[in-house]
Amino acid sequence: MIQMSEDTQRYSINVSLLLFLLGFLLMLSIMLIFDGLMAYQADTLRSIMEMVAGIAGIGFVGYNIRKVQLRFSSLGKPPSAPRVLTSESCTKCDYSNVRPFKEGDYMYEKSGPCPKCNTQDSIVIKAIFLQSPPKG
Amino acid sequence: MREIEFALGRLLLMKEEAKKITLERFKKYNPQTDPTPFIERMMDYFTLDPVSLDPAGIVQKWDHLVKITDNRMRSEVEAAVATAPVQNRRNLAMVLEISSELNFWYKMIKHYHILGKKTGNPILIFQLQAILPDVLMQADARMGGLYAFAYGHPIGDGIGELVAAQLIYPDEAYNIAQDMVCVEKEIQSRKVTILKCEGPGGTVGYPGDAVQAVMNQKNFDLVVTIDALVKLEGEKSGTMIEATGAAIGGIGTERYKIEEIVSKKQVTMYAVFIEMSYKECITPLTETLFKSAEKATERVKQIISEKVPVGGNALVVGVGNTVGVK
Repeated sequence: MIQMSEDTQRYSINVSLLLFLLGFLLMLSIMLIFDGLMAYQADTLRSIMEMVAGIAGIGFVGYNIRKVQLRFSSLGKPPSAPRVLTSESCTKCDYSNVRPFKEGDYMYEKSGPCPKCNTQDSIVIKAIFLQSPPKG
Repeated sequence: MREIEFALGRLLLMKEEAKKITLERFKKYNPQTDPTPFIERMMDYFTLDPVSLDPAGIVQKWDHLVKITDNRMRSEVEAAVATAPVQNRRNLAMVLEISSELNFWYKMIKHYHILGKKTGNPILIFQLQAILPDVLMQADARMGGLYAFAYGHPIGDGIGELVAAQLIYPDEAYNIAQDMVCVEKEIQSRKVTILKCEGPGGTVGYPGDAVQAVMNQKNFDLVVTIDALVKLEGEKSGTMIEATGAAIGGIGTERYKIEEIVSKKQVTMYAVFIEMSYKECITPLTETLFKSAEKATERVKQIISEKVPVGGNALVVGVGNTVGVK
């Protein structure tokens, strides 16, 4: 395993700091809404302003948490190894087969005897291709 | 600014994944030695551009530098994994090259991000933000290419090589220049010389040197080059298009050599391209592209029968990276 680099650590610290600030803002927003509800009878205008500010704060926190979540869902996955197929056929009979790619396969390689007609070295790899085409 | 930080995080992730795969591949062939210092050293290795203040002779300078870099990479890989077969060593050299590119992009984006923050220059930040989607797309494609070279899958860029291999099969080719092989065979009563890179290890070879070598020995009526072409957005992958000239990319040294000898000998030169996206170019071949290669092979035969007189000579050059293709 590779040691986590200084940059990765710094990036994690930045995200942790952001989440801490969002948590703080969420608490502040809840407090504003609570305070607004309590002060509704005494000062209606102040109460409405506090509640609007609190709701806006919660919305802002939610939006940012969703953004971080979306980033991590794509950031956390490096592109994975693709599924590749090998298509081989016999040069002497009509035998053909498509199987998963094995390391060492290459196009126009003689890959052994034919399981159907038993001719030595008659199986040739004619194609190697992706199971599903790449996106983008 | 956060978009740039996200892109940096993504590039960092890809760079480290590439390094991890490179390490694993080197360890597979040499489990006794820790390849980390070697890989870290090679990931920072680069080639200096030659001075172009006086452009006369710049192609020769570039050609020399490209060959030195290529030979250096190969000798370093050979020293690190001496027991690995030649084709695997070539693939490992390509894996190392991709890791090095990802490392370079990460360093460059980080540099401009820090510089933008330090100077508070919004123009710098906007420019960086404008190129980020393209950088991320290319880095993503490079990761696909990394897996292809690590395991030896044929890639989209090797479609020209595949067409040449389809024309060559079942004959055996012989060496004509560094990393280049040649076959002479008769197709529809015309003598056809086919050139391609020596496979199945990952290499683009030196088609220019091979073309010069065969054209200095023999006269040809027609030269056909086949290569992959990055399609424009909205175009269909696998579309075959034809052109006049040499179908060969890269920095231009090989194309220069081909154009020089072809124009000196006044030979007709056609190009056949198969269009694909940038990602398809460096990731494993798709079934659509494979079918297009078969169509291109038939088209090349048709061009030869139409443009070369019976008994005449034609030269067919497969261009691209021959990884996974014999």
